[in-house]
This record gives sequence, C-alpha cells and structure tokens, in this order.
Amino acid sequence: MNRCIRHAAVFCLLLLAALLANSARVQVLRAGSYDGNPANRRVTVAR
Amino acid sequence: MSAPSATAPTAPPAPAPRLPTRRGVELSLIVAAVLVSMYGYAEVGFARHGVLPPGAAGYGCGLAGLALLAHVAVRARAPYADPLLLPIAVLLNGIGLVLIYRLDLEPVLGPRAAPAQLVWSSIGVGLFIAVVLMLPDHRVLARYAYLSVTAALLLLAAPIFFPAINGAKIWIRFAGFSIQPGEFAKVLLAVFFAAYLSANRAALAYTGRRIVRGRRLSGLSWLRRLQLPTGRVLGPVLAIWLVSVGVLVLERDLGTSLLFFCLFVVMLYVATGRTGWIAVGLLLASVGAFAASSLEPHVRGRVSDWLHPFASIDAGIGPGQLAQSLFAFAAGGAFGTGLGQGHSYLIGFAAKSDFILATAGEELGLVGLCAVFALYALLVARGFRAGLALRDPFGRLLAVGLASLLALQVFVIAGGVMDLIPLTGMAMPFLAQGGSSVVTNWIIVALLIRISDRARRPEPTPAAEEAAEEADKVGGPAA
Repeated sequence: MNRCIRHAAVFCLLLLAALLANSARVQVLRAGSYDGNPANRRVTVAR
Repeated sequence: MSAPSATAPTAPPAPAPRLPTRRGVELSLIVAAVLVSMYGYAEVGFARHGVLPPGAAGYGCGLAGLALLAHVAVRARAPYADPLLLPIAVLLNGIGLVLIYRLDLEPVLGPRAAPAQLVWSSIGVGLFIAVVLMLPDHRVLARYAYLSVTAALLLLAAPIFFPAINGAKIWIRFAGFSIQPGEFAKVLLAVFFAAYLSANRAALAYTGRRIVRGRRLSGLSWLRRLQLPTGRVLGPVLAIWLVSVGVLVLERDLGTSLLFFCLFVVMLYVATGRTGWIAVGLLLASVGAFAASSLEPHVRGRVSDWLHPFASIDAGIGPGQLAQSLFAFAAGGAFGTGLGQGHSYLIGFAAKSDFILATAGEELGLVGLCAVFALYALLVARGFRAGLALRDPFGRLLAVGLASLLALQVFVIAGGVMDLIPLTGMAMPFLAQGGSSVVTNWIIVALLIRISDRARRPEPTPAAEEAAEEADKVGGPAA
C-alpha cells in the first residue's frame, strides 16, 4: 500500500505544479496582454 | 534495618527515550500565524484609511483565543500529533478572514461577511476541539461506515427540495442560516470509502479477469497484467459513479460531483494497488464529462467560458466573471498591489467566496499566491505522511482520503478561477466565505490531528519490543 500512497502523493504534487505553472502564466507571462485589454476597467478606475 | 538497600539502592529501570512531542514548536508556530494574520488586518486598515482598523484588537484576540484553545485540546489529548497541522489551519483561516474583511470595505459586494465568518470559524474550532477530545481513536469511525454513508446521501439529497440559488441546488435554508450540506458529506464519504475499501481490499485486489490472455505476447507483459475487475466488485464503483452523476444532474453542482469521483478513484487505487481501476475511473469520468457537457447547458457554458474567457468582450457585452478574475490576477503581477489596494471587487458576485483567490492573487501577487499554495501543499503532505506512518489500513486510507480531498478541492477551484480547468463552484478550503466549508475543513484537520497522533505515538511498551528484537538478533545467526 505504501507504494500506492506515494503515487497518490506524487499525483497531488503534479496538481500543485500545474497550479504554480498556471499562476506564473497568468500573473507574469500573459499579464501584459490582460492589463492592456480595453475591457479591463482598472486603468480608468485608477484615474 | 536493611543495610544493602541503603548502600546500593536498586537502580531504577532506564527510562525509555522520550519521543519529542513537539508541542512547543506548535505553540510558537501558532503565535507566528496569529501575528501574520493581525499584521495583514492592520495593513488593510493603514492602506485604506491610514489608521489602525478599529476592530483589530478584537479580531486578533478572537483568532488567538481560538488557536490557543485548540492548542490546549491537542496538548491534552493528542500530544504526539503533527505540529504543523494546527498552525497551518490557523494561518489559512486568518488569511481568509483578512481577505474577507478587506472585501467588506467594498460596498458594491453587499453586506459585511467577516464577522459571520469569525463566528463560523469559532464553531469550526469548537468542533475541532470536540473531535480531538471525544474521539479516542480514529479506528472507532470504521464502525460507523454505513451510518456515515446514509447520512452523506441524505445530506446530498436534501438540497433537491429547496429552491436553487444562483443556478445550483446546493443550499438548505432555515432560520436565516444557509447551509451547504454537501460540504459535510465530503468527510462522511471519506470515512465510508476508507472503511469499505479497507474491509474489502482483498476482494477488490485479487479477483479479476485478464483482458489479454496467452503467452505469445511476451513483449507486452504489462498488457497481460492489466486486469478488469469482476462485475460483483464493480457494482459499488458504478453506484458511486451514478451518485456523482445524480448530484451533477439534479443539483447542477459539477465541482462536488467531480470531487467525489476523483476521491473515490484515488482511494480505490491506494487500497487495491491496481492500475486497472484508474483506467475504469478515467473511462467512467470521461463518459460522464462528455454526457454532461453535451446535455447540460449549464456545464456547456462553463466549458466554453474556459476555452474562450474573453468571448463576451468580443461580443461587446463586457468582461465576464472569469475574465475579471484573470484581469485581477494579472494586475497583481509578481509582487502584488498590496493589501487593500487592488480592484478585485470588479469581479462582483461571489468575489468573497468562489473567487477569493483572485483577491489574494491581485493584492499579494504571485509570491503570496505561491506561499498560500505552499501552505496547502504542506497540509496535504503532512496528511500523506501520517498515512504512511500508520499501520491499520483504515487509518491509512482515511489519511490519504482526507489529504487528497483537500488537494483536489484546492486544485478544482484554484484551477477554475485561473482558467486552467472549467470553473466549478467550490470553496477554497479555509479562505473562502462560507460557514459549512470552514466548519468541515476544521473537522478534517481534527481528524488528521487524531490520525497523526496515533501514527507518531510510541508503541505501548517500546522497551519490551526492543528487548525482543535484541533477543532475536542474539539468538538468530547472521545469515
């Protein structure tokens, strides 16, 4: 059973890795295009 | 007079080496967790109004009092419990309260929610203490397997008779309270799965039909090892699948249904060690997902939102919720705008519950988000660790089930609001506004505390066991 518990733990680790990679994508890599989207009201709100 | 006893007192038996209980570590980590939360609360006030918020003292004392009560309970009844579990739960709950308090400052998001959340956290900690004090041993729970599955099914079925709120029938309302019974059902189902699977492990693992027979395929030996389970054992699996599909269709709750099914497949795999079960699970899940996405308009909408989050902008009707959430994450960037200085209220409805992570992402940045994910990862890892250290199959499966439950929940909702998977409504454990969820997660942590106490506790007579081992070594010749 120990082997399978480790496999399940590795599976959860993969889920975490996917989340971290995706946060880097949204918050850093694609951040420029999201910030520049004309529908993003943040720029007008800040003024 | 007995002279010998005066001159040579009988030496007391050498005390067995006392295992460190690490309760001091726990206490200092709890103090740190409370201080971090109070700092966050103060920062929100300074950023918005330039003064310390008026409720800071009460809020800090409330959180600290709850944490200390829980710590005292653990110290009294679970002295060997894992010292990281409780501080992480306190910190996550504290961060959640800070974020909800921060969103309360935006009047567009409706009435204040932080005081109610603090009340629910107190109820959660109360139940945590009750579980730690009154549950002598986690193995007792195995006796109530069928009671807990009945209760879980009743809880799951109850909201069908209540009107749908915001498109999902997952709420029960009475006396001004609204409760999500599906949250409690999660723990009950984890207990039932652990009990059922630990009792039927052998039957599930060793009966089966090989898909490929014959010796000619010697190069494909893995294919011959792949076995399909027999119909008799497949029955319960199909039943669980039907229940989760039923939840999906009757209550339109995609997240819960997905969660139950994934939890069951993971626990089934751990109990039996058969990869065939994963294949069966993936097959059933994909059939269910395909049927749901082609038949249910609600689900189809979620999938198309996931694939094209900006479709509503292109159509000229402004950004949808998911687009607003992505804008919030992007505005945070690597280091965030700082607490109280973001615009995540633009998300609107559900900003305090399902989309709470967007506020964390915008105001704490990628750095803060990674820290939050690391806290969840530590919690999950300590759960798995307790499962590995235990000896009884029920406890091991329960630990694995509860840890996976937390991990799956975090993945489903965090992946949903960040456009990694289709968005499904689910509470971020400890962070999101929602009483049922907070209470349930405190119960999960209490069970993990109970299990880890058993896992780390030394055997009743370690000295006797060591002596037996020594005797074995001396008696048996070295091979």
